[in-house]
Amino acid sequence: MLRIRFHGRGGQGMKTASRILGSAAFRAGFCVQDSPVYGAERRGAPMAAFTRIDRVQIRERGAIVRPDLVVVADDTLLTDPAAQPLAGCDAESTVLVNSTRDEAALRQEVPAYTGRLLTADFTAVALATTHALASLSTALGVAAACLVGLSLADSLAGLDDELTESHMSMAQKEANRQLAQTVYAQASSWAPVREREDSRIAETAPLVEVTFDPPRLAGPSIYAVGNSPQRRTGNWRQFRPVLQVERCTRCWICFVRCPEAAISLDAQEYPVVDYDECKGCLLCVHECPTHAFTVEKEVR
Amino acid sequence: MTQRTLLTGNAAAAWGARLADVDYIPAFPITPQTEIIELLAQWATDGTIAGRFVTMDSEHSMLTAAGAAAATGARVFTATSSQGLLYGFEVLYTIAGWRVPLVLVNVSRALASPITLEADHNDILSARDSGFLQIHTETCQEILDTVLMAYRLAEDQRVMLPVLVNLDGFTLSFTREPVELPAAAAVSEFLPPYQPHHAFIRGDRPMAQGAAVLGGAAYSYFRYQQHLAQEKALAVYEEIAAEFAARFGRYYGLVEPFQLDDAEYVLVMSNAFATKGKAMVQHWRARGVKAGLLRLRVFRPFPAAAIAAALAGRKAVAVIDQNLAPGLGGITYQEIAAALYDRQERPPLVSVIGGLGGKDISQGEFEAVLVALQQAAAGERVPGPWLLYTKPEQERMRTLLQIAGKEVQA
Amino acid sequence: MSDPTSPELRAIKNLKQIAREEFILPGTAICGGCGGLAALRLAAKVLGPKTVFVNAAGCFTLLATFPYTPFKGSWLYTTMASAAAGAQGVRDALDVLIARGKVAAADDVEVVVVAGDGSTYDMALSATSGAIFRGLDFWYFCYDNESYGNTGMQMSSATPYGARTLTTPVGEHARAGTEHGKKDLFEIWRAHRPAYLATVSPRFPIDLTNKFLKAKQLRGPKLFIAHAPCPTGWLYDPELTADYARLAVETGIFALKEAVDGVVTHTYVPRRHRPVEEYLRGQGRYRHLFEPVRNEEAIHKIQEQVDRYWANVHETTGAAR
Ligand SMILES: Cc1ncc(C[n+]2csc(CCOP(=O)(O)OP(=O)(O)O)c2C)c(N)n1
Ligand code: SF4
Ligand code: SF4
Ligand code: SF4
Ligand SMILES: [Mg+2]
Repeated sequence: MLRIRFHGRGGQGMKTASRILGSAAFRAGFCVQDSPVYGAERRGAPMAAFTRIDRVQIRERGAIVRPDLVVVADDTLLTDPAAQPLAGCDAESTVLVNSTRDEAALRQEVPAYTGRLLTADFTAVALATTHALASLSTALGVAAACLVGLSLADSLAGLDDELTESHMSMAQKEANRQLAQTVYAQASSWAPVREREDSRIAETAPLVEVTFDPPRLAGPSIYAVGNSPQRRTGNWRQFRPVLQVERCTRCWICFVRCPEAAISLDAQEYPVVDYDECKGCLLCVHECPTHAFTVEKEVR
Repeated sequence: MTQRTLLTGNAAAAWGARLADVDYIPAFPITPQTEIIELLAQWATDGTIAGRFVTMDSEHSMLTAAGAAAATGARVFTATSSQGLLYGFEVLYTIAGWRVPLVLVNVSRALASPITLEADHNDILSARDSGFLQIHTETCQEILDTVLMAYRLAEDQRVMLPVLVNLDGFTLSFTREPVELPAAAAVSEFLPPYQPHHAFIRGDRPMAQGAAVLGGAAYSYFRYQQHLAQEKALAVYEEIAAEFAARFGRYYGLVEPFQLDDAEYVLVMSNAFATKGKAMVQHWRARGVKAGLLRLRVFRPFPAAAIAAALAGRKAVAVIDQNLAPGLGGITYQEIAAALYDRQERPPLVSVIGGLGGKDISQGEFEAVLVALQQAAAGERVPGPWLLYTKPEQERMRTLLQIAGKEVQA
Repeated sequence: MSDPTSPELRAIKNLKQIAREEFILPGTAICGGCGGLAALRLAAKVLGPKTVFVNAAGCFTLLATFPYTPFKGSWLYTTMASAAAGAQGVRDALDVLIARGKVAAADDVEVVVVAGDGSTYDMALSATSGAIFRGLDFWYFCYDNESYGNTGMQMSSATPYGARTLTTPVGEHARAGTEHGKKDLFEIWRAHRPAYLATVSPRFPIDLTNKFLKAKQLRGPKLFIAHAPCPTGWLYDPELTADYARLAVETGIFALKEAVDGVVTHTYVPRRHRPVEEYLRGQGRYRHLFEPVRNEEAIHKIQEQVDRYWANVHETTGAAR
């Protein structure tokens, strides 16, 4: 069996990518399983999706804990404690990262990882072909299909299955097919991912006995009110608003409009973005009457 | 000062709330519970009780208001029956999940369809997995006493779960019996005011209650804690029952053994019809048959050990379920069979369904059960679930079908 | 109810009078650019810390996800249908506990229902009607994203004509997507004669703030319907939330108004309304009205509804057009 795990942010299309791969493998005649995980988080938050491919009926369910291939939608997720894309990876794993940086640069961020690490700027390829960020799912789904050894024809058939269900225009669909061919050609230079010899599904952990706790502990109640900033939703951000102070008229508009309360005002009433929390919706950027915010691609 | 008076089961329940000095009573009427809320409405209006009475727009709202008030820190009482309990069903799980105490009286009534009025226990038993504790009562006195004990149980730090107190519609709700009313002062000593340390809504102590939980590990922990608290409640209940007996002179165990000591043939029953079963036991004893009865009282937590100990080694046991799980059989039968499974001396069990929709269980039907018990003791298999139904009842039913224009075979 | 003579309750005139303190902190699981959260944040600034938000199932249930809560005050999640009944239980309990000396009057809190349109317009209509009918002293904040958002954007009775949702797809038998018109909750609520009733928009923060300030002086039901542009469900980029909130008001699709004891006042009447198309175009949920072929009839119908609404407003208020 091959186990492929996709990591992205809600809205980046990694559920679709996992389905493109699933459909392609299904078209090729394999037994297939694909599923996304639903957390509390909405669009923007780290999420994961899973595809399993085998020759025989698949007797596994739920999350993939020991992946053969991990696909990461952007490199800011690589070290994200909520996403943990490298969890369960080992020397036999392959990790494919969508990034503008090269392997050496990425390896520095994850020194403990010993497996294969592949990287390419799929966003640039996708934008060049389709002019739509949403096509990242096509690029990564097809790249994964190529990496697990599926043919171009099956990959395109899988993509078509997904495209028929989308509300895209005909032109966009065609552009996505173009993109698929480009990405497939590029990914063909990589050696395919191979099945593992040992079939362990996960490490085993010792069991414990759950014992009685008093009611203050035993209910889903929270006494530490106002503790949500500990979650650090700043890790959702792909782009960050950066204030160019000289342009700011201190009009308060961005402070009032930020849905997240991620902007406060300093003593001189200049806005201060809390980058630990700002989700990067860029509403403040759009609303500022003097265009005092610039937008920077997030690097972590 | 203690006072003896004639009260219906409904009035006894209302008196329980009154003596418990409850703060809040959200209500919604349903036959046969109405008298409970009517009395409380009157008492709240004329200042007899300090608690506030509010008529809500449905049982779903009523139970939400009740749970929310308990989560705020109030002592809450409310009551419903059958369709009403089911209408508010999701809220039962919600309240138990909040781990807040309150007492909800259910006046048992069979469930629609067909809609009907008289008692059986499918309503109350549907709530058996909700996290509420459940106590079933047989007499009007027991109703009042149980409401008081239920508050002690619910508000105990080792439990902190809501309690359902069950009484049968009509056979108890509208039946008057002599009831001893304990003195208010004695009750307040037994049941001091509720002081929440874990669930409250107030300006000086903000908290979030009922937060969403993601991930099965967190959910498993919280749900299992309800089970552990219920398990603890068995011992806590025994303490409370002993104290209640010491103060008020009436003892109520987890289960009630009736002439069980040397009994060979045992009926297992619950609620008001257990009274009829007891009469039969006495009748049989007079005939020299060593019969006895085990009345189920505390149903959640399920006192499996007490039940198994009471039944192990008997010649035969008949579980008379006044409920039916279609496609399975009697509900308490399943649970009792499971309680006995790991015992060496498992008695033969006969699964009997009787009293659905308030249908009487006549002396003749009890006699038939005794015959079945003797057959089972002799090694014969008695197939169950066995519905008690008499020939005249069947004939009458045929007539009704005919009148309704149906094709009845002669 | 607060002392109406208190200077803190005077209407504000500019943005800089909005409280700088936050009562709903960041770090929630809500989508970036959520219009409903933007509105709730501003409302919370008026309500202050001694508040309990009583919630019905919806997107905002995820605000408090164990073990985190963004609120400085309290939170109580109930069910989808009964948040108003939960508010009743809390309010009544506090009244009784204060009257009986078990809780100090200073520790009282404002009780605020937070529920979506699906809950409010559909399942919770009975519970809410009951609470208003009983004259409950509480707040109701309905963030109207015009769909069942938490379950992925299905139709609710607040979904407007012409919007596509996952359960009102576009097809042979429904070219407009949602064929029903939006339920008029404002009028349903107004028929109950609540103490205060208003619509608010996150893009009109002064209007929003003043409405909450005004309501704070009143005892009884204080009800708010907040226009809640939803990038995830309405299919547009999150940075455009305030734009769509503004366009909804400027096209006249979303009327800013209030009703005190049932008497309606429009608190913002645009001189000239922009064509509804400016609001519709660009939202993915309306794309089928423009592509691949323009559905003139549907667009016209939406414009007509808006025009009729405002014609009626001008007629009854005698206001100049
Ligand atoms: C009784 C019940 N039925 C269905 C649901 C599933 N459900 C959860 S949230 C939701 C949508 C609520 O819509 P709305 O009130 O508009 O809030 P939104 O999700 O848009 O924020 C539904 C249908 C539920 N929680 N409870
Ligand atoms: S909106 Fe622009 S000008 Fe106004 S305070 Fe913010 S950054 Fe400064
Ligand atoms: S991008 Fe701007 S508006 Fe959006 S969360 Fe960050 S600071 Fe707030
Ligand atoms: S789906 Fe819409 S309403 Fe719900 S949290 Fe996201 S943006 Fe807000
Ligand atoms: Mg909604």
